[in-house]
Amino acid sequence: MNYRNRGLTEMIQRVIFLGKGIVTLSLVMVFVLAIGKEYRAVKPLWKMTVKNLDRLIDPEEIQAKARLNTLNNYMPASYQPLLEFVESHGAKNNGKIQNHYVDYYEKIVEFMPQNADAHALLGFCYYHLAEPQKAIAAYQKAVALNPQFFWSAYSLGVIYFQNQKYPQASAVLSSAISSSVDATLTLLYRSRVYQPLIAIADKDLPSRLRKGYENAYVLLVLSQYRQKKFAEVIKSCRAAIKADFEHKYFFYEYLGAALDAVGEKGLAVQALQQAIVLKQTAVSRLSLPEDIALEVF
Amino acid sequence: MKQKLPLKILTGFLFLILLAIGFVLAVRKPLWNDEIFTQTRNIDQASYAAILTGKIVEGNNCPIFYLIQKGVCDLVQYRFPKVWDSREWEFSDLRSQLILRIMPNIFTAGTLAIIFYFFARYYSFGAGVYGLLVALSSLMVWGYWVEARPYPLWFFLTIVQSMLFILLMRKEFQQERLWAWLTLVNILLSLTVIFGVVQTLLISFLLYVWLEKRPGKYLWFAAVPTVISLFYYFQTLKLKFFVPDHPMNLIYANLPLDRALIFLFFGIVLGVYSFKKRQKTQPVDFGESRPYFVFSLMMIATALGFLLIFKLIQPLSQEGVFQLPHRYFFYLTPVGILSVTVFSIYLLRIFKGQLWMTINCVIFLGGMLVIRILKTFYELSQQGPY
Repeated sequence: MNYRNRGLTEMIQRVIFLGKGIVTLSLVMVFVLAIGKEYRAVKPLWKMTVKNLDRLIDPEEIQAKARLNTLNNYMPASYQPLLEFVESHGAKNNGKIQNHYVDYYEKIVEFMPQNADAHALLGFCYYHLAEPQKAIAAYQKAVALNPQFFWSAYSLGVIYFQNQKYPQASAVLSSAISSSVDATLTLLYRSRVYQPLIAIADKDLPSRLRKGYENAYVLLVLSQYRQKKFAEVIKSCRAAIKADFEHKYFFYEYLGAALDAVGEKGLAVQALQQAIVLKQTAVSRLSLPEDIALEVF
Repeated sequence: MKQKLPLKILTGFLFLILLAIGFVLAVRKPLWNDEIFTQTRNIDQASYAAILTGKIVEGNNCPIFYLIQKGVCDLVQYRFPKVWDSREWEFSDLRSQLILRIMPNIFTAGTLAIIFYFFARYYSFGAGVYGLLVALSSLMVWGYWVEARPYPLWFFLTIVQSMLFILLMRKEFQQERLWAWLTLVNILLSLTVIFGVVQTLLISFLLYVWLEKRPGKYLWFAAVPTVISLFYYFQTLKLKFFVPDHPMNLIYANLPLDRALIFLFFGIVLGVYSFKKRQKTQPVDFGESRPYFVFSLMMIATALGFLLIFKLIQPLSQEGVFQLPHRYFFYLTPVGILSVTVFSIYLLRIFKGQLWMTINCVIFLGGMLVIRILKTFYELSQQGPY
């Protein structure tokens, strides 16, 4: 009986020992798995930290991060009011343009003075907030920083034209016309400043751009004509006619007038006849020069 | 005495190392919105008298921290270097980052060194190292280490308050001297943060229950700090808050779940052994861990209570209302650090001689610590250059 009891006790002790072992092993397994999971997440970060240890204090990186966080704080929650402001050429202003958008773009150019797109958007806002001098300065910076972007040079040209500064208008509009369509579209699609606006805008950007080029030619021809630079008018009109814009009759008219002014009567008559024919068949009329407005994209 | 000197020297070295780490953090972390607001509005523009009388535009207008910062700024003739637009979320300027964070860094580095010293001296060297690791694995410690706002001072005073409470409950030391120090800490705490009065009242209640029944002893100890806190509370800006969707995250940020698990485990062990003790089967001495457990429990309950109150009184519209931040429950971080360390020590003490339970405890506590270190490292790495 004693022998049996002893055997039973030993067996129970073994079972308890085994149970304890299983509990401890389970605990070990649980922690090994949990630590393993955490370690896998941390490992690449640890490697990166060790790799970047020599850049532990990198003032430029720290400042860039601080500026990014500040810009995020300035970033408008919605671009819809700005888009409405842009599309209505400044007519729809809910009063938030200055605080929500101008401040944001001003902060961008403060932190990133080389950002031509922010300068250009600022130029547009300043112009429609009745600050023409600031608008001109902003557009001048935008054009200087990125001469390949059509819309900045175009808008600056429009402002000069409206202010009857024809030599400046001619120069900057010539620069706008010489920029490439592809370059402008690529810059638009890649720009982090324009992206949020383009994303919500329902616009055919290539068509808008083509219309912009036509308007630029119109203002260029008018600027040159008003300066009596007829040779340049002839050159510009021929280039515009070659580009085959919708309102080609306008360029034939001015080509005729310029040819007449330089004494080429026969060619002038031909051009004017062509203008009359085209004008009769034209689907739409050209906007008045005074109605040609600044555009963002 | 021979043992104390090397420990003090070691703690001194540790303090210097931690101070150096703090300055690296200070340089890596640009000043952010709240720090800049505090500096520009309530230190640069406020007079000493205005600060002292609580006439500053802060949710917490208790004066000590602002007085210290103003003193430092006047000493080195520092003013915030630019006109600040409140939307300028962060500002990187080396001089500002260093000057404004000198005192917060001293407070945090000092607290961490004190944690090591306290446990190494009164428990064991290993306990000191463990306590330091527990403190360093707290995300909130890193997040607010060099914050140029009252949090590091609050952290420092809460830790010292808890330590003095623990020493008082051990009943081994000069009680009168400890009492005097704790009185001083309570008063300083009431001059640091309005919530400090809750900590003081909880400690006073526990000391009354367990140690000191003479009401007169609580005049300077609790009544004066309460009056001070009320004085500042009635003048402070009453900000409105809304509680975020997952309110418990505000608590977990300060007292992570893994720490709460240790807390819970210790609570179960304490409960089981208290029950056994009542049956007079196995008396176990829980010493100061029992009152500290009750204190921690009450602190957590208070946090939950405040969360509930904030939820009940939150405005219907969230427009123009601040989200309740996790740092308002910052006091749970020091309490969590000390709780985990004290309870870990006591768990190992309780199971001394029981090899299996000791092994399990070591696996459990060690595993939890490693997980917390990894999690904290992960969180800190995700935050970018600082």
